[in-house]
Amino acid sequence: MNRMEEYSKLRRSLKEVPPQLEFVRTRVEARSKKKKYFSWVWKGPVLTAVALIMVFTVLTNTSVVFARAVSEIPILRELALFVAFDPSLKAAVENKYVQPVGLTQQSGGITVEIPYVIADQQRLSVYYRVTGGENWMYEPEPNPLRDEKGQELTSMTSSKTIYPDEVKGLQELRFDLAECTLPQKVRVQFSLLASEREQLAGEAPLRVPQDGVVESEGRGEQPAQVAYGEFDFLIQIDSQLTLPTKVIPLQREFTVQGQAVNLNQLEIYPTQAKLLLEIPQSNTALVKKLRVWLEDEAGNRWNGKTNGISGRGDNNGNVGEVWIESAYFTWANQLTLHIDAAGILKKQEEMVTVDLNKGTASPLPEHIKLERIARQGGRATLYFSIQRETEDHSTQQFDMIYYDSSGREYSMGSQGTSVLDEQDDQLHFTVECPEDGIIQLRRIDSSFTLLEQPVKIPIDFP
Amino acid sequence: MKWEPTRKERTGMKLQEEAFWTQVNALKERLYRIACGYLNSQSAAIDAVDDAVYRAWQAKAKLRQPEYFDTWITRILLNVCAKEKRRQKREKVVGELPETAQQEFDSLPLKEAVARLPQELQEVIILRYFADLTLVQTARQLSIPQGTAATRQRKALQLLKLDLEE
Repeated sequence: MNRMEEYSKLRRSLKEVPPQLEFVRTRVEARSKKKKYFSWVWKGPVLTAVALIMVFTVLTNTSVVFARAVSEIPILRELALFVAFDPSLKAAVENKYVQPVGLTQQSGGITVEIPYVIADQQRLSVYYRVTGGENWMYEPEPNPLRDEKGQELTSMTSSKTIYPDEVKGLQELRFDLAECTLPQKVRVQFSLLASEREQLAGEAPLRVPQDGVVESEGRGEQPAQVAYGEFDFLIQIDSQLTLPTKVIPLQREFTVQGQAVNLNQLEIYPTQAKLLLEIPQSNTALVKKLRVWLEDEAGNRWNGKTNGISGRGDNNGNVGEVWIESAYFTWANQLTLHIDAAGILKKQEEMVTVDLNKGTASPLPEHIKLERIARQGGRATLYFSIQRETEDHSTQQFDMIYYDSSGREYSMGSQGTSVLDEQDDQLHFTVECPEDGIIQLRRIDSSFTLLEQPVKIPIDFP
Repeated sequence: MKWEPTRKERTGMKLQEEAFWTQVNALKERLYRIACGYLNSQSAAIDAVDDAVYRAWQAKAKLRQPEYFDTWITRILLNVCAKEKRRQKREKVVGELPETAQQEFDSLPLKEAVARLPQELQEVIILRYFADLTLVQTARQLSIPQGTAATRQRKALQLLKLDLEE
């Protein structure tokens, strides 16, 4: 092709205008509105940071280099780095969906500062810093989220141990609400147990291939507690910053291995998206999970959650909600919802019977093994190894509620996971030992089965 | 005392806003072609158009001569594109080629060759042959004498080995 032919071809290609150009006005007006909300908030409580805020507002006019602009502002740079590996929160910070809080409390020799929160109608992420003694590590124990009047809000809480080398940075408490929306004022209460040990008890498992039951004096040497603080923050959520949810009705059905799945609706929040499902009780097997993602016209993807909570179950052992990374801040006009695999569990394999005296558990699938049981008086800690199927497989295999032979319910309180070796992860939790030593665990996960006909649903993005 | 617009002022402001968008809609395809010429990427070009229109929207009250709206918003776009190109240069090794690098220009696809022209030559080519401005309009847009625009155009066409009417 000679130069003139290239030129003619180039001219023709320039005449093909992309559809996104049609909506320049929509995007610019939306950007203008966000700028107004942000400006309103910053006039409020954080008066000492006015100069930095004005610099930030000027820099936000350049959308192409926004990420770099954020990194140049000390206030949000730290938060941007902290959330860099969470695509939804990263997009929220890049779009200035952050509320400054500026609260500080001291208790028991520990100081906690909360500089920011990120909130939408279903989730509250509280970012905080801890200051205390040198070489301390902290174990946060959050209480359930409450409203202003002290009424408990149904929610799931996530937190993590703060090791000495992490102390100077930001930490996160995350509250995922269920069956309610975030009110304007919330009470965030938590305690911090500070210790000087490098390792908490129970984190160095041993492989015991013979009988799998080990009697121990305790859970290992207890950490030496050096401080304990209790914190109670009343946080005002700025309603101007909790952007409205985008709800997209779906009303579609598909089947996998003969099991029906109804897709009810997709809810897109600023920090997450939820696919709401209904699985008929008439199915002969349980649908435990779906592999879901959203994709726009340019091929950008928003995958199902792989870190932290990935969804919720219904009351019948099926998946009820699948959580996806949020596409809330995308400029795309159309998204496609993809589903290409499902986790199916035969109903007769859902309950696993564990004999705490004999050290056995069945039925278990091939990729899960009971490694050992450590007994301490009336309690037992169970250690399972779980072979990693994929990079994003789940290590949480059992429900927190378990049962004795009479059907009485117990709750574990927490489960711990860690990397065992190149192939396996470890899951451990502590249970109470009934008299007969028999408990029943409910499996909440199963391996993926590919759909014969993957689901693709185009969605006009509001 | 906080200023609140009267009903008449609000109507006036609304008309100005609609006039802004009417002009933007008439120009946006040309702005897109200009951005494509600079940035060599559809998505980057859309981003640049969005950014330029946003900046223009924010600053519309400052435009004292509305008859020069298209020149004004094109100037904003050129600045946005230049800034993005500088950012891209910091991340990539590939940059402009000098006027003496005829052999290198010959070996590149046309689109790539345009992208690697020296900036002052590239501006003229993009405005003339991507945005279809006349030489007079191009000179006015770049605030340079018409003769200078003609010289730069000739040099650029020579490097690109394009035989196009002046």
